[in-house]
Amino acid sequence: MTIDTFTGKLVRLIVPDLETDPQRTADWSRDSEYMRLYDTDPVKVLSAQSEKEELEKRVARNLWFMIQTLNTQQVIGEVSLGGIDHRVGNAWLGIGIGNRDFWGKGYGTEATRLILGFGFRELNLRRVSLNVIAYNERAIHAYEKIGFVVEGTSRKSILRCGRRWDVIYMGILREEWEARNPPD
Amino acid sequence: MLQRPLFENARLRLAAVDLKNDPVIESPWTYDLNYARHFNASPARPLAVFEIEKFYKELQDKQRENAGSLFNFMIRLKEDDRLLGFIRIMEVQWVHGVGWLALAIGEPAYKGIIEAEALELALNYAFEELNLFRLTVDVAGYDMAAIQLYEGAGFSLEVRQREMIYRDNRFWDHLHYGILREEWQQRALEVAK
Repeated sequence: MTIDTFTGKLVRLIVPDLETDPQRTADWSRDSEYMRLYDTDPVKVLSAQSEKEELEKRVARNLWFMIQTLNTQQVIGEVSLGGIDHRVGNAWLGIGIGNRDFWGKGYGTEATRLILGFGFRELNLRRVSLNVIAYNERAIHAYEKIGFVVEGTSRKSILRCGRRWDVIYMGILREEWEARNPPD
Repeated sequence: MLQRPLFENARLRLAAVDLKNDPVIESPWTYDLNYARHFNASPARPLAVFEIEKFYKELQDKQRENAGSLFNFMIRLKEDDRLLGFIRIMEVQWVHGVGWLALAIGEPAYKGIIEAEALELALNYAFEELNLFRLTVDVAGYDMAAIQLYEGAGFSLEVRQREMIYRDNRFWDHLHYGILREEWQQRALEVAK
């Protein structure tokens, strides 16, 4: 029996490659808009050397996948479940599509669905959490489409471009996931 | 302004940790899992004296290394210098002016009595000295005393992560309470009136 949890219609999740991915994520870091959507820490231009060390740490601490397109075999982003707490069955989702040619076309949404399927059906998670800066409307829309529910707002937590922005917390419970994604 | 003491109010003072004596006092308090839960992020369990000592040693190193993203104070009773508990302001992100608070009282004679006075010192330090814009505290959904404490001090419930805590054979929500500097200032003015 072959179970391929990691392949969808647009993308598949693949394990990181220490030879090629660090240069790729370093290249993505030059896109400040991308980085400001991805993280709340001050964004920096990253080097391939430091990214290699970081990638090793990320893989050790999280379930970390690169996102590859099915038709062109391009690696376009990364998706992860981190901070896994098996006692309560919670994990935190992180996703970024570093190649902006693939923004707004459903690639990130499908990658998220794939990793959630793995989290709920294989890791036996009970819920998945995330937070997102309020200006990242495209991401919030995608998360809602997948079935994440807004669980609250950390008011004015982020100061960027001279403005204060909320951070939105979202979560999805296993039963909410199962209701939308019944087993085959 | 500058004369107003940051490290004491009527009954309490904020002190540095006493590595030799404080862990011996705190260890028995951690049998109260609610105290242990506030103490660190690991699953709550009773902690041995040497673990607490190690925790504070590492915390002191961290305080030096991180150029101040972590601020720990022991809470002592001015009257007899007795240890009552701790407050910590953690995970400060200076660019955004935000941080997280942890506060717990372990001394049985003062539990449920002195928290609001300790919180007053913590907020004063966070806003008047660290210049934070906002402060967040996380509370377990079953902890009615903490909910009352933070709501009473002007915090608002901002986030309710559903079923994120397990205790006593059931799941509970994980709550985030937040307070903005302007809300704290407004409140201080009203209290002064």
